[in-house]
Amino acid sequence: MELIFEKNRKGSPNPYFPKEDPAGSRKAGDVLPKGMLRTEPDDPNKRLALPEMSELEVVRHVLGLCRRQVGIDSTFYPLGSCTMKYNPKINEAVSRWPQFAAMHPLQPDSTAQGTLQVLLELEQGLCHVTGMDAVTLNPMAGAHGEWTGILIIKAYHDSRGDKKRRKILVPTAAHGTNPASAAMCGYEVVAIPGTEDGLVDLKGLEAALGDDVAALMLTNPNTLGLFETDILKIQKMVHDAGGQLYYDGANLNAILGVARPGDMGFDVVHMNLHKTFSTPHGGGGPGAGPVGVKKHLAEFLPVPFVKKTGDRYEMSSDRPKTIGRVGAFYGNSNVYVRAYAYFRTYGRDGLPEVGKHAVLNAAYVLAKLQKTYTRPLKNPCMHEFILQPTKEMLAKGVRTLHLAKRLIDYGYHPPTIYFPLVVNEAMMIEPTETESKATLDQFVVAMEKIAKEALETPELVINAPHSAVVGKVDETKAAKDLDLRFCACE
Amino acid sequence: MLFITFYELRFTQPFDTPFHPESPLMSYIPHTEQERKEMLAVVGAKSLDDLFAHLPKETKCGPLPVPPGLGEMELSAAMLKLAAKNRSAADLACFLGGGAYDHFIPPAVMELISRGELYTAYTPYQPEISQGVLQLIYEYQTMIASLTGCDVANAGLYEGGTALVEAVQMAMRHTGRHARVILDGALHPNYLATVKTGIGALGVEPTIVAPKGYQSDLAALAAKAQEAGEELACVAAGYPNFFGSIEDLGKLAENVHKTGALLVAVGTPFPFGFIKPPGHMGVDIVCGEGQALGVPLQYGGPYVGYIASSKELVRRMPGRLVGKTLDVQGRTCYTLTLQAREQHIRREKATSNICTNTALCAMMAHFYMSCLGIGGLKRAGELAVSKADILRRKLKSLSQTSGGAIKSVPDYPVFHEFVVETRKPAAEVLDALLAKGILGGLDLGRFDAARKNQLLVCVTEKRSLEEIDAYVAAVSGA
Amino acid sequence: MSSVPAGLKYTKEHEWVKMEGELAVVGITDHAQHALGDIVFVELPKAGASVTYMKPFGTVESVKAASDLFSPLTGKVVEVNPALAKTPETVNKDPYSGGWMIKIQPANKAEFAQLLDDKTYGALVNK
Repeated sequence: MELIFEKNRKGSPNPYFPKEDPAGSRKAGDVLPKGMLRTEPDDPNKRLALPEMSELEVVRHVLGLCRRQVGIDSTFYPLGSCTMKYNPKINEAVSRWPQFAAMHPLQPDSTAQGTLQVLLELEQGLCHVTGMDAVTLNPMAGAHGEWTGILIIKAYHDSRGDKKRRKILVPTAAHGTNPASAAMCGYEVVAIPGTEDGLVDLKGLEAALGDDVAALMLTNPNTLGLFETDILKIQKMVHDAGGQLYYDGANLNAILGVARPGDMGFDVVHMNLHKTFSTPHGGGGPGAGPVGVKKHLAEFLPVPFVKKTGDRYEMSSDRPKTIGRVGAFYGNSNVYVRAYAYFRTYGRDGLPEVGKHAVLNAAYVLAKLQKTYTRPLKNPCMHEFILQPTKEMLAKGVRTLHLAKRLIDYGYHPPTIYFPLVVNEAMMIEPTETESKATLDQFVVAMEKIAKEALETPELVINAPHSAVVGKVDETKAAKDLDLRFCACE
Repeated sequence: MLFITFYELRFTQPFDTPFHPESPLMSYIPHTEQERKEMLAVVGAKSLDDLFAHLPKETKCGPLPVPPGLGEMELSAAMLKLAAKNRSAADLACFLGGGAYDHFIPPAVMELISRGELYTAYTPYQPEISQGVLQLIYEYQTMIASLTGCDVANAGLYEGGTALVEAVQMAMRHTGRHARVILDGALHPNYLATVKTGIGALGVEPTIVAPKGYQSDLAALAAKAQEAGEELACVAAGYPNFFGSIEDLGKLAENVHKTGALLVAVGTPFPFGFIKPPGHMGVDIVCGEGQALGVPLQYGGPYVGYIASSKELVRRMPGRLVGKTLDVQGRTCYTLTLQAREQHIRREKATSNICTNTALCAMMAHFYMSCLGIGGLKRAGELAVSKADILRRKLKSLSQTSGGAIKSVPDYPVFHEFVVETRKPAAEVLDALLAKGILGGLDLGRFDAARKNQLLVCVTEKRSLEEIDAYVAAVSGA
Repeated sequence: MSSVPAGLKYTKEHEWVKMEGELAVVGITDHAQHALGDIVFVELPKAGASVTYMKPFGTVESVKAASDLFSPLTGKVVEVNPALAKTPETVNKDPYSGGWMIKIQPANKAEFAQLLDDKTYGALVNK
């Protein structure tokens, strides 16, 4: 589709602002210092390139692009590790009320009692859900939560004068954000091997633990979709060595309301509310990555925080041992309005149903598909599972990438592919609890048809997708002949 | 002790909103009883709890001490009650800025952002079915790059404070210098605090150069840079700075470049359609808070951090980038590119740990800039400047005559935000303004007790002359 | 089977070295280029930079992977392959000749003995 800049009609009028200058005003050019007005240089890349067109033309451009895009609202979206559940519309509606959406982050607490109450009650709720003692809402996404959590662990060790702990342990199968976050906090990252069953190798862990280890970062269920059944042993080993245990909450949906990281012995957790608490993924964000900690770490949490005195809520920064600020304001507040609405919708009796049905849906699809695809790991399935192409498919030249692209022709968003890196040809499927049996049955039928095609007409699968608005994309060209913006000179 | 109260608070006073103990289960889980039975049979489990039989029992929890669920009807009522406890910028006249701005946003922006194809998608890893988001982000990158006067921009970061942390780390990686960073003391205090947290973790203590009055001390920044010499990764200066001041950074850029370091400019991009953008002044990295471009105030988030730079720095850039390419049939299309910089591939050696960013807010900024166009953005800027000037002049003449609460209005070049000095604590002046339905600005004493008689006032294009007059009336009587 | 020319020396990180008079020419092996896939970017030091035995001296990037380049020898970089900036794919097409990366003036010839010969390296990658 044409770029919006290619539809430009220079000088197109718009209906937003009055043409008349305010009475008694001076021209902006006279107010601003000489030489500070924008002038357009010869270099076309440095010129102002905003589209000029009517609002209707903008709307049509965007709706045209919407036809080239799928979301959860369009189709089943089993993207493993991302928890693509339904985003209830009432949460969107509420968050857009001006009483929430038009709140300035620096307005007096007396005018923000509703928002502050929402934030504090959500903090309390998240404490209960994770089994932690205190929660901060400052971090704005999962990776930001990891960074915050690791800084808290660092502050804890430092406060005890324990400065020799320079390493963070991370399983080889961990999300890439884990090692990246640890490195951004100045830590050396040490990879911990997994067993053939896809769990943490206790011998490997034992060997890596020592008085130079600050923490072990773990996802549970892990990135292979398996519950670390040795978690109580693991937590004892880490704590006995003086380390802290960090919980990557990417897979919290699997155990929501059923089991709690706090009860497993984790000291710090981050949650991805855009996964577990249904706040929309937004085409890649915003997310929200609150961090929960046990009592001994609470004094290090970032500022600000909400506190309540009598019946008044206030925003405070009075936390002397804090790691400091991790952003300009108080996290993605309006994402929290949505998460709060979700939390109140499910409540005490509903939250466990989320975890249970997320696992039921995954186990059901797995039970049906393990007859047609290879399942590399045999442990009980949680909320997601990994499949691989069979030997016969691979012999025909059909790889995971091809299967994923062929699913597009059947109208589905493909699963996560080639993650985790430790499993060859991985295809990670996470249905989530909001999909009906009928949807899952249809998906299974499509996967079975594709399996058949892979053996009988492999070319059809290898050259997929056939129905998408574009075919296979030349990513090598994109990286080599870098073109990151439109230039008016073209 | 604060620490104790914090805990007491949580355990003794959970949930003000009343419980409805008899509420039925409300949810978006679609299973019927019959379907659940059939599915359990396929799985080979007797009950849902069976699915968790392999978990150690110590890890399992009983019912959580949280309120029972609510149906949409009750939820709506409960949320409305909470909403009623807020007084937003929709019913107060907002002269409050300080890093978040109350601009007019065409309703078309919210309408477009409500498309399920956009807001219920995730990161566009599968380009064949994500051309919508990918093209919109490519267009957004173009708009931000051109607005800031830079070669390239990324797909967005969380918000302004963390964008500055990323910019500083980008400069460290590019220069290979990890020892010294110099920050303009006239940056937003919360940004300064965020950078301290961010690079403090790496053992770097930034040097902060105090402002000269309300203006960034460009000469002192240059002198400090020269002193730091080859140890220096970057200097970061505000434009506009926290006090609203705008000054040409060209000379500073030259001085910083002499040391081989980079100059980072930090500021709201809204004025850049109207005033000289940092990219035209030799600045290497421009970053800050993009909220002013069509993202609602939302009590501080979600916003969109923006970052733009010269093309030489692109491989050091954090976060997502969308590039143009061709498909197998030679058709133009878009895809995520330079992913080898990112955490999912390069892990601990990545340019940043950022994964989920704020694509939806970047798309809001796109829709805002597209609706307004060059003409609209310039007109909005022009109106903001004119209206800010009107209030500033009125307050100045007030301070020179009767005075009221205003002691003086310092002179320095600004865009739409400026400081006034008050006779009594700014907090008290704000209370008087609030009593008249006006959010009168930001009490700078919140950040620095020595500034308790300073008030930061912002006037966007949205403020009417009536509101401006009401402001003046309120402070002359206060 | 990856090609492992005789007469060159190798590292277990998949760099090759060839002596040309006093200078050591360094690149990555056929096995490495194949494992990386389409190479889109090679980041190299400037002439004059110092490099250290088995320490990173640059990076090589494909669409889906990035890898550090390890210096087989300690010394000074005297020349950098200028062609790779525009045509990094040369490393894929011609890893042992046109795809060379840097030329080093070695500081310690004893290091040379610690490198792998073609038989040992070949056994490593073609097992």
